Amino acid sequence: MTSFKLIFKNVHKNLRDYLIYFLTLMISVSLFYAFNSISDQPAFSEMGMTRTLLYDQLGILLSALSVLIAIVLAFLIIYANQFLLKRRKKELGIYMMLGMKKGRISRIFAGETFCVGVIALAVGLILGFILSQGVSLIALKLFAIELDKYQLAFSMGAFRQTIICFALIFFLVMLFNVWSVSSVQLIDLLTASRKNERLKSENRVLPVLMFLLSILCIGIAGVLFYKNGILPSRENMSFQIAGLALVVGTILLFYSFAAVFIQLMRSNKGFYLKGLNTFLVRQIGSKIRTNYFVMTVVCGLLTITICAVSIGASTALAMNKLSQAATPYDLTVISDVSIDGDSDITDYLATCDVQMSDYAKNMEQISVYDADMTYADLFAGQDLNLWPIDEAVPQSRVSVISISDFNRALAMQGKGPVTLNEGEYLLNCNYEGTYQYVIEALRTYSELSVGGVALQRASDEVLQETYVMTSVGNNDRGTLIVPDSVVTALPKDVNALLVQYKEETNPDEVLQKMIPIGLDETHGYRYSEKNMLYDMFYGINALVTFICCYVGLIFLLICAALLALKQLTETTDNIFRYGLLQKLGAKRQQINHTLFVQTGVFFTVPLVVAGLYSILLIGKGMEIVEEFMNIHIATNVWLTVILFLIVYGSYFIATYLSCKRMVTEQKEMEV
Amino acid sequence: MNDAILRVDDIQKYYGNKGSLTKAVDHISFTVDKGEFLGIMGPSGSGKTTLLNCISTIDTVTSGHIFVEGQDITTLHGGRLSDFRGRKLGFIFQDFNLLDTLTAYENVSLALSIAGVKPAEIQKRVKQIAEALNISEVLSKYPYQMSGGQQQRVAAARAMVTNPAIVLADEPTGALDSNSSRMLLTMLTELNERLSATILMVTHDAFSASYCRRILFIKDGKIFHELNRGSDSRKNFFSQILEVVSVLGGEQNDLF
Repeated sequence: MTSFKLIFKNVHKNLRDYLIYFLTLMISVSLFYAFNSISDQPAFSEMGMTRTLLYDQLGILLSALSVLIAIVLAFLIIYANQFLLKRRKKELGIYMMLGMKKGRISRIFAGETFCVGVIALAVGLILGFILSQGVSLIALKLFAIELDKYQLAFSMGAFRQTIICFALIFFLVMLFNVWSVSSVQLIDLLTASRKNERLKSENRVLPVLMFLLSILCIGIAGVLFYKNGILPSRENMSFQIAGLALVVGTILLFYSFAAVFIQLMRSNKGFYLKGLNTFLVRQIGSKIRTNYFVMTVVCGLLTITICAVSIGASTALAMNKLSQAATPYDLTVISDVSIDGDSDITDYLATCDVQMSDYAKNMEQISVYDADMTYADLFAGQDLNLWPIDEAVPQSRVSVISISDFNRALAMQGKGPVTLNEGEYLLNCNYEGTYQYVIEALRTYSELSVGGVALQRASDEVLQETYVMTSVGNNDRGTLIVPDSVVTALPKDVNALLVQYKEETNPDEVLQKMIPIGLDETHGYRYSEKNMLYDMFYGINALVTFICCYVGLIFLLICAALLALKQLTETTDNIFRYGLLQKLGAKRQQINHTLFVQTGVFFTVPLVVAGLYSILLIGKGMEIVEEFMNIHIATNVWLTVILFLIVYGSYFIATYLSCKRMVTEQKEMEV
Repeated sequence: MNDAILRVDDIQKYYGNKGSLTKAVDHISFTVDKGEFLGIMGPSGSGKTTLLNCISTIDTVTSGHIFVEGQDITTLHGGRLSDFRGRKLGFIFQDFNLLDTLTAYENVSLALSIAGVKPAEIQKRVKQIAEALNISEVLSKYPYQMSGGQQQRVAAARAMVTNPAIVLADEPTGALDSNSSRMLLTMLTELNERLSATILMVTHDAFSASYCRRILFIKDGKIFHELNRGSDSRKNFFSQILEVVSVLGGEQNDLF
C-alpha cells in the first residue's frame, strides 16, 4: 500500500477522532477570516468623515490583534493535534513493529495533518465567508449605516491573510508531529494507552503548605493591584511583582488544590463512602492535579475575556448614556460675531431657506462673551497639566454668559433657574480636562474682577450644565456666569441658537439644508446636530464593542475547546474505569452523574477563580478607561454573562454528551 | 438442588441474522452448588466467554433462564440489573482492573458504597476482608505502589467484600507468566476453601483448570464432557484434563 493510500485510509478511519481537531481548526479559520474581512465591506465607504476615521482605527486595531490571535490559535491547534497523536500512538507502534521506517511514518502523519488541514481550511473559509456577512451586518448596524447599502463581499486580503497564517500553523504542526514521531521509543508507543497518568507519591503536609502559600501569593497580588493599579509603572516594580505573584499563586493553587480537596472530602466519611463519591472525588482530584497547567492558562484567558468584554460593554453603554446627557437640544447653530456681526440667527437662516419656526417647538438665542482675562489668568498659580488638544486653552479668553441667557438655556432643558445676585459670579464646567482647575479657581477666587466689576463668589460648587451643544465630552471648558449688567461691557464672542424640534419634524430634512450653511467659508455659522453627534458616539461604541467581542469570542473559544479536549482525552483514557464501575454494579444514572459533575467541576473551577480575579481587575481597569475617556462608567456584565452562557455553556454540554456517548458505546462494544 | 447458587436452564445465544446464524451457546444447562470451584474449559470460539457474559448479565440470552439464588436474572433490566451485579456477583480480571487513582482501601470500599452499604459498616467489612486476604498493611497504598501479588489480592478483596453469591473469573491467567498464574490460582483456591466462595472460572488452559474441583468442557456451544476432581491429586487431575482436551481437540488440532 502506498503512503498516499494509507494517509487517506487513516483520515477516513479516524474521522471520529479527527472531529474535535477538525472542528477547532474550522472554527478558528472561520472566525479569523470573518473578523479580518470586515474592512473590505463596500458599504463602509458610505460613511461620513468621523466614522471613516474610527473605522480605519478599527481596521488597524483588528489586524494588530489578529497577529496576537494567530499565535494563540497556533498553540491551540498544536495542542489539539497532541490529543490526536496520543490517541494513535498504538497504531504508530504497530507500523514500527511491522518494520516501517520512522521517516515514512513521519510522512504519513504529516500527510494526514496536511489532508485534514486543507479540508478544515476550505470548510472554515466557506463558513467564515458566511459568518463574515453576519459580522459585517452587525458592524454596519453598530456604525449606523443603512443596511440596504450592504453587499455580499469576498475579502481577498482576509483570504490571503487566513491562508498564509494557517499554512504557517499547519507547517508548525507537521514539524511537531515529525519531531514527536522520530523521538519516541517503540515501547512507549505500544504501551501508550497505559502511560497516561503522572503518578506522584502523596504527601499530606506539602500540598496544604503550598495551598496556603498560593493563597498568600494571590492575596499579595490583590493588595498590590488594589494599591497601585494595574498599569506598569516606571517608578517601582510593584506591577511586575504583583503579576508574578498572581501567576505563581494561581499555578500553586491549582497544583495543590486537588490534594487539599481530597483530604477535605475524605474526612467526611458519610459523604465520601456514599455511592460513587469515592471515585468521583478521586477523578476530580487527579484531573485537576494532572491538568494544573492547563487550568492556569484557561483561568488566565478567562480573566482576560471577562475583563475585556465587561469593560468594553460597560464603556459602550456609558457612552450611550453620556451622549444623551450631552445632547439636550436637537440642533445648535453658532454664529461667530467677529465674522457675521451681532445678528439674529433665525433671520439669517430664513435667508438660506430655513424657516426654523416651521421645525422648532422651542427656540432660544443666547450669547457668549469674551472676558477680559484668559484661562491662564483664571488658573494662575496652578500646576497645569492639560491634554494635548487643549494646548491653546490658556491663551484664549474665558467665556462669559449672562445669568438670564443661562437660565433660558436651562429652562429649555426643563431645568429650574439658577439664582445669582448682583455683584456675584458662578462657574460652569463639564469638561473633564479642565474641571479640576475650574474647581481650584473657584476656591482661589472669592472675588473676581470681570469687565472692571468686582464679583463675589456666589457658591462653592461648580455647575456642570450643558448650555450649548458641542461634541460629547468636549463641552464647556469653564464659563463664568455673571449678572446681566456685567456682560454689556464685554465683547460678544458668539451667538448660539438652541433648537428643539417639533414631534413631526424630520431631522434629516433640516440637516440636509444645514450642511451648505455649515460649509460656507464666507460666513461663520456652524451647527451641531443631535443625530450627527450620536453617529460619532455610536462609532466609538462600535469600535470598543467590536474589539472586545472579537477578543472575548476567540479567547472564550480557546478556553472552551481546551477544556473540552482535555475532558474528552481523559474520558477516552479512563474508559475502562467506567466499564469496571458497571461490572461493580453502578447504575447508568450514577455513572452519568459522575461524568456530569466531573465535566462541570472541570469547567467551573477555572471560571470561578477567573471570576474572582475579574472582580478585582474590572474595577481597576474601569478606572483607567474612565480616566482615559474622561467619562464615568457603570459596570455592566450582562453581555459577558450571555456570551459565556452561549459559548462556554454549549461547549460544556457538548463535552458532557460526547463523554456520555463514549461511555455508553464502550458498554455496547463489550456486549 | 437446594444448595444451588447458580442454575443455568437450557440457554441459547445466537449471533447474526437468518442468513448466517452463529449458535454461540446451544442448549446448555448446569448447576453450581454453594462453595464449588467450577471450571469451564473449551477451545477459542467454543462459546465459553459468551456463556460467562450471559451469567454476568453483560450479555442477554436468546432463550432459556439463568437463576442465581433462585432469582431469574434473565428478566432483570436497568437499575435492578446493576443492583444485582453489585450485590450478587464478584469479578476477577486478569489485569486486576484496579482504579489507579484510588487507594487499595478505596478500591475495596467502592464496591460496597456502590451497593449502598452504610459508611460505618463499610469500614468494618473492608477491615475484615483485608485481614482475611492479608492485605491490611497495603490498604493505604495506591496500586502502583504495590507488587503484582498484592494487587491481585486487593482485586480479590474487592470481588469478595460484597459477599457475592458467585465470583466470576474470565481467563484470569490468560496473559500471566507461570509464576503469577500460580499465585492467582492459589489465591482463588484459598478464596474457595477458606472463605467458602463459589467460583466460576472460564479458561482454555489445562494447568489453570486443574485447580478447579469440577470442570465442564464445552465445544461448539454444547457441553461435551464433565470431570470431577474428587479426591485426586492436582497432578492426576491435570493428566485427566489433558486426555479430555486431546479428545476434544485443542486449538492446535484444529489445523488437522
